[in-house]
Amino acid sequence: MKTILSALIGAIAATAVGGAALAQDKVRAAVGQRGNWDTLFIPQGVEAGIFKREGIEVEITWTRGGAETLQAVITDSADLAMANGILGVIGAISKGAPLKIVSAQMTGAADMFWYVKADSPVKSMKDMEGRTMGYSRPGSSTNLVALALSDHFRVKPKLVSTGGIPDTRTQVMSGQIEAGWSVPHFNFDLVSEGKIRIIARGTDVPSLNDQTVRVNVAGSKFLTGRRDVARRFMKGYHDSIEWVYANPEKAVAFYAAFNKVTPAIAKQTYESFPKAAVAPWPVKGLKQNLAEALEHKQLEKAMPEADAQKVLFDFVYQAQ
Amino acid sequence: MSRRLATTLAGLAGVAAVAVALEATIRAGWISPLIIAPPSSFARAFAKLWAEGFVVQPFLLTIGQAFAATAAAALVGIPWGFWLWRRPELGRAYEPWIGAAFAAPTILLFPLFLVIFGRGYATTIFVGFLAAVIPVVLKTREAFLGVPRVLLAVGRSFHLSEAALVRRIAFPAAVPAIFTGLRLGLIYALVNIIGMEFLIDFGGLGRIVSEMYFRYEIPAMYAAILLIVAVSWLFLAALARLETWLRPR
Repeated sequence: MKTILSALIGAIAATAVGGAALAQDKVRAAVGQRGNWDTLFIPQGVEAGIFKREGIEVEITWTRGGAETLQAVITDSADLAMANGILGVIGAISKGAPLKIVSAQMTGAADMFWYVKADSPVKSMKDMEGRTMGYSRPGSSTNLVALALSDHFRVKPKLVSTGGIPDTRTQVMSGQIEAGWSVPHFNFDLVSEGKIRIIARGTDVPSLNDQTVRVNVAGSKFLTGRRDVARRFMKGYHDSIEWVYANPEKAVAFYAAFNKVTPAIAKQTYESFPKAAVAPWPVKGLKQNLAEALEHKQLEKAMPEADAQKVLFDFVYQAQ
Repeated sequence: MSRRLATTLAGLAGVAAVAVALEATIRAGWISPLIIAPPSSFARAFAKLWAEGFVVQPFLLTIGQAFAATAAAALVGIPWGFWLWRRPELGRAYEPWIGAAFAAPTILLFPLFLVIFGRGYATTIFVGFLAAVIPVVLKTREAFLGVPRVLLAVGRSFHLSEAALVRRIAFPAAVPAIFTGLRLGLIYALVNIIGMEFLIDFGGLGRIVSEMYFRYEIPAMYAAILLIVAVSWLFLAALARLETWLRPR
């Protein structure tokens, strides 16, 4: 009887331990701008089994970007906020938000472009003086790049927060604003139909090539309380990007299926996002970003770069 | 102490009590100051808004839009409600539909209105008007339906014409309920106008709330919301004065 009881207790204990070993650590990620090439690395990684290999189960919440993504982490509804404009992140952290930058998300602005209706008198960015030019939300990467384009071409357009890509498109096509922002693959259809013309690209400003415009952010509570999970997640994120660029055909097929676009458009999109641009490390151009954050009132007072390094960053994982 | 002064002080004491409780809760760490700003930060936040020019002009812009929307709702809604009372069969037929339309979130049609009216005050005022006119219509009809029949009978016994009956008996008796409709209309107009300003980053105080939100200036965001409350208070006070002037004593 004693032997049977001991065996029973041992079997129950083994099941419990085994069950725990099989259980994955859940990570809640808030991701802005559903369906962009650079915001699909996590779903691609989940599909390829990369996160499962790290023992991570990812729960994605898609947001419209900007403050909405960061607020999800601030209110502890998410552990990480992916694809946030760096100006907004600097502003939030400087005001006490319990966040840390864990990696770059986009360096340079190879993805962004601005367009006008085909019959617009605007031929290039130089014609945008006093005209309305859209960006998504204050503090976003589109805000940063729109300002950089204005400075580079020495024009003063009237910058207007137009929200997401579909809202911006409606406003341009109905004549409410002159130039709207977009990223591939969106609006490629209108370009090929001759209904819109591209007047500016992020790559028109060479200095942006060495400036990180979007970053990934984690909650301080997540980084301190579940540090190993955070490390494994970021490893999974890095490995997902490596997998995508090592398997472009599969990645393009996934993108096309997710967004219901043709493989040709998906391939064109892939070609707009060089691997170096989406490398998670390093975060570049901090000095420039701090200066712009101060100029555009995201920072209340100047923050020395040395202080910023300590306050803003926690690279829980960095690929060697 | 006069009764009016006592009432005012009681109101202020209630607000102060809530502010103190909120401050204590935030300082105790039960609520994050990144979500709700402590009331002690509002003065500094207001000074910041003032320094950036985010007080007077946005305040006046929002007041102007709310006034235009509510005035338009009154000009359209009161005659419409009166007409539904004068034609009882139409009143019974259309009241349920108008009531149902009241529940519809018409602000979600804002992209359509942006296309029709453009990105300007016409859109924000129209959205405000649309939200305000329905309660004005419904409350106006209800106001005239609520006029005691005995008063109308007395008027007819004195051989008053229909126009005189309305002007001298029905309308004065209906004024309180009509003004209830105007107050409701004003509130809905203001809420929708502020919502539009927030959504399209245009106009007055709603745009300031949006900007402060995206800049993580949480105390300034709440300071802007308090300015919106001030707009509402001013309008309601003005309506109360107008009602007093119109009601015979």
